[in-house]
Amino acid sequence: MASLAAKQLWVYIVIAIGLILIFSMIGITQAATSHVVSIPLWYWPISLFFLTLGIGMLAPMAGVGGGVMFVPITSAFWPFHMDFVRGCGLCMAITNALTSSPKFLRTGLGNIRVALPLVTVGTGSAIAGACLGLYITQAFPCGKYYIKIALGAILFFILAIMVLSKRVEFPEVKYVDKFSRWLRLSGRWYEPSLGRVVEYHCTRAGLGMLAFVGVGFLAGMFGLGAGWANVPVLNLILGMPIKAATSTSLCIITMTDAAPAAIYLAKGAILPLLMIPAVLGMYIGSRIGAWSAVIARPKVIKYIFFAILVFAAIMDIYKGLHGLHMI
Amino acid sequence: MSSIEVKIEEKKIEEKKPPEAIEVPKEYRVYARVIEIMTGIAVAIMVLSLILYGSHALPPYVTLAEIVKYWKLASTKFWMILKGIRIHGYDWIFAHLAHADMVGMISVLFLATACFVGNVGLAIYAAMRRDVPLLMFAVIECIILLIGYLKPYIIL
Repeated sequence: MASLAAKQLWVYIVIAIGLILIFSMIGITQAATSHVVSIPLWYWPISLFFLTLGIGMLAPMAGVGGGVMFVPITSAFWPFHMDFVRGCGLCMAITNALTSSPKFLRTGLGNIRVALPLVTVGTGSAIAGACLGLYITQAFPCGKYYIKIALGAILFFILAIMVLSKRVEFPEVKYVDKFSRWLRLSGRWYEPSLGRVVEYHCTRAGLGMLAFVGVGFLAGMFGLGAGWANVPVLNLILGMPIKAATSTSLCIITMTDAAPAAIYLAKGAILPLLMIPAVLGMYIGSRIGAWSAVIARPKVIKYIFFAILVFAAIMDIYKGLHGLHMI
Repeated sequence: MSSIEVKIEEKKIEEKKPPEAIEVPKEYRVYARVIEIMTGIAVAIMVLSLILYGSHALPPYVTLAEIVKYWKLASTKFWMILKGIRIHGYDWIFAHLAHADMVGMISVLFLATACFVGNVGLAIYAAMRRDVPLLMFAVIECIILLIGYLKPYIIL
């Protein structure tokens, strides 16, 4: 019985990775040729749907949101301009977060009281990041190449954070500073695996807010969800238990990515015929992915995720340098 | 399964039930409900837009062929070459709502403003409870979001 479930899980993983690889490769071949109109037009939205479906299926098993995979993969392998990739990525990240966070808020796992001080700073810097990101691609003829190189470098930074940061399930908070005490940064939820209510207090809210200046900026500039940065800040700086931190991170994304999404829309950087299939693919895929992540999270998935991200980062940097005629 | 085993099983299930003492603040539930409704509307609009496009009930403002031809261009150049317009703000979306793809754009507005409406709800509840920190940050967040939404009209 157990081996059958394991087999099914592996079939599922192979399908998810297969979807990502097939539709990424098709993007490469089409991007490499100028004859993009030689294939049926309906093929593009459908292939984008299946690519994001695959990402949505795999991302929850790797413990990440979809945006952090979508933006590097499409910018590296697909022929769209960076503006449309980032606009699409923001819409996906925000839809994913908006659909997942209500259930966490109702159980007490998502904590708005902790999220709000951080997002006020994060949203402001995300707006600045979105404006700068669009300015660079539009004011400079080679702007998209600068963004691609920066995205590649940021991906290595993200990978380093994911590999090096240790997740503490229940951090011990010995002292709550004055500011955090005034904000009343605490929470509680019922943890079924322990069979009891878990209570926690957060500290170092000021330092967390400072960290969110950078987190929000990167989210807005590159169209990423930034859950990869939210969770370590909440867990390691504020001392929030990891389960509450992951849930609160989703609440944060609903707010930090909202204003940048509107800015990209107001600049015409969101194309519905690309955005809608991508968002719907992610919407369905992440639901399947969340269900499968409950069953198991094989460690190998994380390595596959890392490999895909490293490859995408190298491709982004290569394409950026190639565009600048440096290679 | 014997009756004793059944009783033990029932007791285990009873223990796993969350105690009723866990009372999630009402403003959290309100925020959750608001974003749930607005996301539901947004996704429904996306599906509607696809149906309208697929069934040819409404013509698209930009055809797929045009998108594929120019998608390598930056967004400002894309619109300038394709339609001869300079995109700035949201007026252009509302001006072309008779097109299937522009209907889909409305969904992004719902997604982007969901947290703003939720934060207004939070601020109201915080004011009623005289919860100063929550009220302060909910109001600040609303102002920042408003600046973000209205940025195209504030700074040219």
